[in-house]
Amino acid sequence: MARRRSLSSRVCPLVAAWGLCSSSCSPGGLADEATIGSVRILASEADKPYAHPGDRVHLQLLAFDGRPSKPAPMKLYWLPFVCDNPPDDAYYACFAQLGRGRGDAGGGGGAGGPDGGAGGLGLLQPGTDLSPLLPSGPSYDVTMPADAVTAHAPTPGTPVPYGLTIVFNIACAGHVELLPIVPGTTNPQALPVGCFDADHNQLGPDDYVFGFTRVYAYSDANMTNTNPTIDYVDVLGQKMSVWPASGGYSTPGFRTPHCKEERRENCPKVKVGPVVPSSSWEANPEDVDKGNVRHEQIWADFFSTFGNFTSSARLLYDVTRGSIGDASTTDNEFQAPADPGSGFIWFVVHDNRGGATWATIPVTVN
Amino acid sequence: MRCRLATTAALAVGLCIALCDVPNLARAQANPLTPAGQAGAAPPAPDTAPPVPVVPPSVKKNVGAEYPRQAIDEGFNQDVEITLQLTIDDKGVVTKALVETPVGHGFDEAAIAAAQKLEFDPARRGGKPVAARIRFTYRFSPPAAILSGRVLTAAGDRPIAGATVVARTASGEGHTATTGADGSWRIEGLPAGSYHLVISAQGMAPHEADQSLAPAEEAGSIDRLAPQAPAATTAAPKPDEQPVEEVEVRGVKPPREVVKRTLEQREIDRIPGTGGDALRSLQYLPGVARAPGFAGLLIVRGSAPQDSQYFIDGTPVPIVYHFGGLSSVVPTEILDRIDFYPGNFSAQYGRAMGGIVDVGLADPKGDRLHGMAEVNLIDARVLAQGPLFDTGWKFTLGGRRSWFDAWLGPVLTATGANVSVAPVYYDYQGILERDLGKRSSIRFAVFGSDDRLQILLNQASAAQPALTGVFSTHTGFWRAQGIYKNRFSDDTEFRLNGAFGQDYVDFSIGDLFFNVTQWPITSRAELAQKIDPRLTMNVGIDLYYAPYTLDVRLPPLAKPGQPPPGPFSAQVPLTTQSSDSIYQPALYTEWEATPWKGTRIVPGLRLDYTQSTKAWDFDPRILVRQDLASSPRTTIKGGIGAFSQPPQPQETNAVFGMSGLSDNRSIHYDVGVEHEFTKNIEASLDGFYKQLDNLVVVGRGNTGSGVVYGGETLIKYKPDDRFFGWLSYTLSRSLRRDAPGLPLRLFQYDETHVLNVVGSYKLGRGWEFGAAFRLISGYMYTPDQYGFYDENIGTNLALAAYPRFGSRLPLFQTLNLRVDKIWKRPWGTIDAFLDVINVYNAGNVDGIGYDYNFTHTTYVGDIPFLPSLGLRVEL
Repeated sequence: MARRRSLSSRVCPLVAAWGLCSSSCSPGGLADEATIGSVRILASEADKPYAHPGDRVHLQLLAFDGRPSKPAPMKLYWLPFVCDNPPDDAYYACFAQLGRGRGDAGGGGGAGGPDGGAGGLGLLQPGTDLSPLLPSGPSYDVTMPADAVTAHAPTPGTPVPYGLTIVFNIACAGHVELLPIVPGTTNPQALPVGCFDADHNQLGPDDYVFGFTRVYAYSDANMTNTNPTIDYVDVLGQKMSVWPASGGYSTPGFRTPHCKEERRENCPKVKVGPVVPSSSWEANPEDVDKGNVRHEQIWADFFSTFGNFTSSARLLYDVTRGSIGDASTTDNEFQAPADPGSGFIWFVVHDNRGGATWATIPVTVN
Repeated sequence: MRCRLATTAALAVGLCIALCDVPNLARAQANPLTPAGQAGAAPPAPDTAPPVPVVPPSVKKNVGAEYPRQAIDEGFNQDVEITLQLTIDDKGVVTKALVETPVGHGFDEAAIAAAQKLEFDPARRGGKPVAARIRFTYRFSPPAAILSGRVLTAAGDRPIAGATVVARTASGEGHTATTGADGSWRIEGLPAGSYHLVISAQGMAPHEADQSLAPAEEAGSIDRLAPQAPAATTAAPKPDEQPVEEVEVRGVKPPREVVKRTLEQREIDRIPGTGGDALRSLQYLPGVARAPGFAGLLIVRGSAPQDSQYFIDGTPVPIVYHFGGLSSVVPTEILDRIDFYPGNFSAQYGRAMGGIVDVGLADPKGDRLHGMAEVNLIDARVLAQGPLFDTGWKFTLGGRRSWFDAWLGPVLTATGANVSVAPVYYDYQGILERDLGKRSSIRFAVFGSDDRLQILLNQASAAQPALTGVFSTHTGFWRAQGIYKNRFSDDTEFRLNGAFGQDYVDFSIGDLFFNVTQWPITSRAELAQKIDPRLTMNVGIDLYYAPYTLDVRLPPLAKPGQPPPGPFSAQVPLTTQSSDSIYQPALYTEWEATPWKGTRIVPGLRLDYTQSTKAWDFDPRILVRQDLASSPRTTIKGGIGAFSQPPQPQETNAVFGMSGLSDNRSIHYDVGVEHEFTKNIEASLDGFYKQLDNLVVVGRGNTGSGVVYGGETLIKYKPDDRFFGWLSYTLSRSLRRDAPGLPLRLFQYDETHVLNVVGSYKLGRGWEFGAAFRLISGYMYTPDQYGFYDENIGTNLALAAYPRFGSRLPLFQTLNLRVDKIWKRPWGTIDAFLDVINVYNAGNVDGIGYDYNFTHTTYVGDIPFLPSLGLRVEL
């Protein structure tokens, strides 16, 4: 499936002059990010994107197993060690802490691992099946350290002191094993764990995702952030109601005919997208340009289990302009598959300060 | 630069003696000598018989005697007389020759040898041939010498007609010649000795040289004159001749640097794939690697782009390309020269470890009003220049504006971008100049550039959401510059360059922005004093002071060798607002010594102060050139120099950088040889080695080091009436180590092989065809693979190979063609051209593209087949 080249890639020659262009400048002709054909984590939602030291934060994952065949079910695991204030705020700097993880005072909200978890994985032998030791399920609670902010190394250029906690999780269609440390390996990104099948064969990218979520802590009472909300879902100009679910929003879904065209580009396009209220476009006190406090950037990622979207993401609110437009401007275009069936599409709405929510839309293709 | 051309052509200046015959005969008559055949053989005449008159022998054939080679070789340089006693038989043949007073040095033998070739009518007594003996004198004078040569332009070796050549003896006696249409001159009949030559031409800097002449020697020389900037005038072209201006692109300007390479504007105009853009032509020179597309970078001898500096007439400027590489900020038409120093440059330049590009603006033409207009797919430009009424001032006014916003804006809109300001750039140049007498001049110039773009990217990039939303850039600069030059005497020259202006960069995308404005004040002053004909001292100051304001919100700087930190949105942006200044004064001196013929030694010293590091840098440098042969010229050369470069402003910034940094250091070593095969064909081979130390590494400090080594070769056919072209090849390796103990790795800008072949041929009837081929090692890159999922941003992060930049993209190749058709009209010329990049659409690779989770890759292509049409009208 062809992936449309993002528009930003078209201006990358210009952006490159400032050295700001990297992976977004990928060409066309590659896999479509929006269509789910493997084990995928689509989003995580923290009930407090900006927490206070000592707060307990509830994390909820949105994941889906889109593999055509499923020899083993996908499970969600959480690494029970959490990483506080790694050097340079780099997620990979946490791997060095793996062997001396603090464990966590939280605990699994799902299938449940032992509270306090398996901190100190470095004490275990490589090849050990960690799955019984790991909290599992789509949710997890973590408590921010009381010294989350004060323990963070001072960072010049950040107007408000903050702390950072990183929580790791794995969506794995098998079990999780501790990987051996290869002698001489100096790559700081070297993965500490892997996903294995019952025969201890390490599984590939279609069968697992190693993810992480950052939770920021602020002592300053003015530093708040809430997750964006979704008023309704627009489908071909019609409002589709939404209601809160255990994570994100649920919707009644819609029906659409299957595509009868031989060429995919000729398939009918269903304009769909989330409608996010302007109240979600919060001011960002840290972002001041020429004396003006700017706001969040809000965008939506699009996923589907079948069919395809014409783009994988749409901007909803710009930091200075605000709303990009009404639904007719921000909606994406969904093209149904050639074969009838049932599936899902998701809209994951992000703000650029760690806030997120999503809507799940069942779709029936006649 | 002079080179002796001709061999010594001996002039046969025998002295004999048609004029001497009579005295000789008179002497013969007066002397008590008798015809030898009569001595004792003839019966004595009866006393009573009347004496029979004797008619002395007369010269019938005399080939003369040459000033002996031995005397010339022994440095004997005087008039000499040799008197011989000749015995001549009754047939007129010299049967015996005796030197009365030998003088040596080969004169005696020369006189005898010449005498034996004499033929006489025999002496006669009573009408009857008889033998006789006579005295015969040869008078030798040193043969005259000849000076000859050609006077050419330093840039392009075009002949200079009407140049004056004065050869003056030690006593002050002068001999003058004027060059012909082909630039040649000749002075004959010169006594042997030492001469001081002064070659001068209108609008050109005079050139002086010393020449020693042996008797009968013809010494030839080729003298190349450089334009005398303040007083330069351009002769009106002949009606049937296309106006030719020159732009030099010099590897290093002699005599104060190691290498010299020259490209004329005729070449720059016609190099395929450059669109006639002068600065783009730099990429075809040895030592220059291929820069990443649209980044506006210059990679010189394995150095990082920020290690090179750009100047316009000695004034530093922040950028040289619009939008990072679309076209130069100074149009070719207004350029006088481009000095390009790939390394080991003069002490007058500092604060850089890579290369130097110094662009010179052309002096306005003073003969009449000129105009030019050009339109191509990218921009339109106009230029006017000429005398400013009768004020003595000359002016140039030029401007250019892009117009591709007219078609790119709708294209961007069609692809979903909401374009409020489509890409637009413009630049402008204004020059006022006048001569202040014969020896001094003053020039004021204003030049600037402005690029701006604003679009709304409403199709967010899931991989980089921060690079979404309003994308706005506005960059530019302007300078007001004054240049005063005064040649106080033949031995003393002073040059003062001062400028002030503004640089600005306003950039924003998403929630990130970078706004900086600075007001640089720069000044250079240099005094050149000839202390001795063989020694010139240069001393100068070089000031840079720039107050600035900074307002930035950006992610932290990436650390070399570390994995990508993830999307910009995932990092807490750093914010800083500050007002400060950059202050970097410097002093330098450089001495040009020519201790003996063909040798040039240029030691130099530079002292720099950097306010941000509070450090002094002491950089000694030396260059040696030695001509091994004069015709054809062969020169060996070498140089060693220390170079210091302050940390980049962001590296010392309190928020983005670190404290306690000191300057980067480098030592350049160069050796090379140059050889002129013919008037048009020359070749050079240069080897270089750069030791890099104390390099600033983000997040670590001055822990970096490295080496760059390699060789460059250039075989060039200099422009003649129909053809120019060259082949250049650079082999280099650039290595870096981020900290002691870490492995030495290939630098990200390493491009091991760079091959360029360029040629252009005038087919006649106004048609000209050119081709340029490039074959270059691919860029270094870091392979990525499936890694992690950033749930806050909703994007996959790569597991990057380590160490970074450990793989290389495929070889780059491209063939560019250009066809020009020129129509000449009485009022000017029209040039229509087609410039085609990547003619056979080679699938060159500019990078690696990945799918969303880095499990599949594809190549990101470079510029495909790209034709460009243009039209230029010159009045």
